[in-house]
Amino acid sequence: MPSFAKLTGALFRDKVRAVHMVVGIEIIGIIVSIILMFISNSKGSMTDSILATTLGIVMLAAGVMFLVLAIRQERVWTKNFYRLIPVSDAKLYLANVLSVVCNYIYFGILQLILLLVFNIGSWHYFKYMKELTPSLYGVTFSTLLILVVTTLFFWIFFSLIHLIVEALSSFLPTLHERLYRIVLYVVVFYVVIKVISYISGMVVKVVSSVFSLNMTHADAMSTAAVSMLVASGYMAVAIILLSFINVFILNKWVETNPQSI
Amino acid sequence: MDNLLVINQLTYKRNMRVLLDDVSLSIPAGSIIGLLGDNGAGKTTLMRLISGAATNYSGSIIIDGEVDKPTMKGLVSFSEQLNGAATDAKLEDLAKFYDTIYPEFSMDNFNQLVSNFNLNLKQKLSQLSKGMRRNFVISVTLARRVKLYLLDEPFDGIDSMKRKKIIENILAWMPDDASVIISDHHVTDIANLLDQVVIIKNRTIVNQIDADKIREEYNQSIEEYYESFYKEVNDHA
Repeated sequence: MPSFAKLTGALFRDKVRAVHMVVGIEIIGIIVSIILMFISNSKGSMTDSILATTLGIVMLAAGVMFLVLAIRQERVWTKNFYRLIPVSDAKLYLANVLSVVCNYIYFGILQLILLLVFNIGSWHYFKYMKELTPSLYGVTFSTLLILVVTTLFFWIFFSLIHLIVEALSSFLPTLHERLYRIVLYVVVFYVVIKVISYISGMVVKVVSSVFSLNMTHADAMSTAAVSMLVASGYMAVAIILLSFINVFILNKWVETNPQSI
Repeated sequence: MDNLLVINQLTYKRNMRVLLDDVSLSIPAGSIIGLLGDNGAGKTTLMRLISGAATNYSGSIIIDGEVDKPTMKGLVSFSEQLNGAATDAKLEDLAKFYDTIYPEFSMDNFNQLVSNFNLNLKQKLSQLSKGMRRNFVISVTLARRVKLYLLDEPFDGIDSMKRKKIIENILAWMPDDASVIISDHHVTDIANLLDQVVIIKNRTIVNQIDADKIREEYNQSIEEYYESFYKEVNDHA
């Protein structure tokens, strides 16, 4: 049986092609945008325009990467190529989720490199980093943490939806399977919207509390950072609970799709 | 001879349909078994259950004395295992994946098999023709040194010459103590390989018999026996 590290590494490499493809398309997009900017010779600071454009493309790519990795994660639950690996379902689940997270971190590092390379003219903004107070570093860290935890939460939640629909479908007649699946996805989609509203409400609450604070007040910043850490903690607990449910459904009811390659 | 695979009262339902009903079967170690049956009889479903791809069944499946599912998966190499592999992956990347995941995967054997089939490892899975894809599937399946090989319609879409090459490779690369279960419509192609024949009809196993017995006692070819059996099961029951 493969070790957890070997399995995670293999699943990481299996998905990394998708990361390179998205980053490749992104680089082409940035280069084309910069060329168009030079051609149009627009007024204003060129370095600021490039910074704004690359930031926009990076954010778009981050969204696309999130969805691509979600799809790649879901493939593992229903394909022989992965499910026939001689490991327990819990080990496969953990390795798969970890490989997705590692790929997104790798993607994030590539994004930082892209931003630095394409914005050499904007490096002077780094001098303002000296003015950041320790409490603002705390808020930055907490914000990053809540972003990471929220991203992970959604991947786990997508898995829950997918696994529930797969499990229920195996008990429904094939004659109307497609119809049932559509109905199931609509119902689950409704539930997702409800949950998203709830979570966004929670996040907005935390963020608005940050903005309502006096930004120069160190204690207030610490409070904001702690609030976000607590929210991250709640999300982490939810992730663990949903993961237990996911592994249970995967193990009990989710089988691979019988189509050949 | 010890039994490598023992199946007891296996029943499998999915989508409100019974796909296999009360199947019992014992497969000896070191044998080649022909799993013969019409389309929809349950051949692929039985292989999926043995491989661990389908798990929601009643009854029992024991492979080499093991009932632990991950351990059982490690003892079986199934020709449908590449289902779900990224089609944009190069063959060499898929081989590396196998080499990392399966301790019993032999890269030397794999390279030999690939060379026998004239496959280019720099190609992507999506670039292969149906026949080449089948050859690649056979290569990765046989490169694992396991106890039980499940070959589901390995000659589907393959011309006669290549079928012979696949058969040669199966015989050459199969470990001595391993068993192979082959399902196929082209009974003639595999008839000479077989030690036993298992006939599946209407989602259950209706007969399991030694290939020599068919030839010597019934004085029939395996194809004739299978066809007649399929026409009138009661004659042989």
